Amino acid sequence: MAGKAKKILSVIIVLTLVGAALGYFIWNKPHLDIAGATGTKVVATELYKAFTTDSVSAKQHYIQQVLEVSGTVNSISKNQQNQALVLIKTGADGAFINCTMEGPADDIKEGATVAIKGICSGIGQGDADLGIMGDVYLVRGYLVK
Amino acid sequence: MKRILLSVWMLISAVNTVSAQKYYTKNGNVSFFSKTNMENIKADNNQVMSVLNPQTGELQFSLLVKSFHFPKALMEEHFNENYLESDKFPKSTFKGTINDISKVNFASDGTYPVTVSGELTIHGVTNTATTKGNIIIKGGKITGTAIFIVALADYKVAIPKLVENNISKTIEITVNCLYDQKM
Repeated sequence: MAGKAKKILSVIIVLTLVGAALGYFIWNKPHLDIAGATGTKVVATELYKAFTTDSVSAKQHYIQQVLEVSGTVNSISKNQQNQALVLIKTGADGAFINCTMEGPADDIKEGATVAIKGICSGIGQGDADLGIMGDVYLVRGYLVK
Repeated sequence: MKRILLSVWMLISAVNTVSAQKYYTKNGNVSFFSKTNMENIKADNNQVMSVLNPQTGELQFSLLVKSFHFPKALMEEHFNENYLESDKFPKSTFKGTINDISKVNFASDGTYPVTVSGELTIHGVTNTATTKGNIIIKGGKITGTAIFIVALADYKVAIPKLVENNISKTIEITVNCLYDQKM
């Protein structure tokens, strides 16, 4: 009888430990490794066109997806958090693929053709009265070598 | 006579240019902060679009909820899927006015305390919001800051029982936007 109780207790302890370990791993699950992930290749002009001509389809295909966006660098600067900010031309005046970099950006030069991999969070709001176009945002960006 | 007309025209043009000046950014910062005894949670969004009209004090900002980045992947998942439902409500916006914009001297460096009021939309729910902030002028650059204290229940954001001790019922939303000039 004592042996049976011991067995049950052992099973409970093992299950508790497994449950705790599982909970710990889920809670501390790392973010997606963008640098190592395979991104869907898309040209900046096509990506912007997709969001401005058929936003429903663009949302389904691109939002929260890892994309590898290629195009010409319009400018590179730093945001308020000191992260590199790369704007890729879209063919539309004043509208860009707006990439906030997580990886190094020292090799990125204005006017160069680049491919940047990151997660697409959608198209931002513009202001038609002011002629401010909405950008398509890419977060956690990495330069594809 | 021609000279006088030219001078008047130049003066009118200059006045119109100043009055038409607006400031904007597409990469302002909004952070979210929840503090409880169990844990503190902070997330940042550096893809905030904001427009400020220094003449009228009109101020607006708009952000994509999916651009918030959390330290933990699971927090980010829950934030998007369960709490803010970002597929259903992809944007959060504020549209309002800096009530005491006349106190700000945009030509002189300094920190100018202001009051902002307007309509804040989160999770598809719009409420009137008023808060204090600062307009900071430094070397010709304009930065706007403000903190909104938001009760999640006011925006119909439901927190599951299992994690209700981990997430504060009221959160701090800090806006920090460095503006570029747009004529």
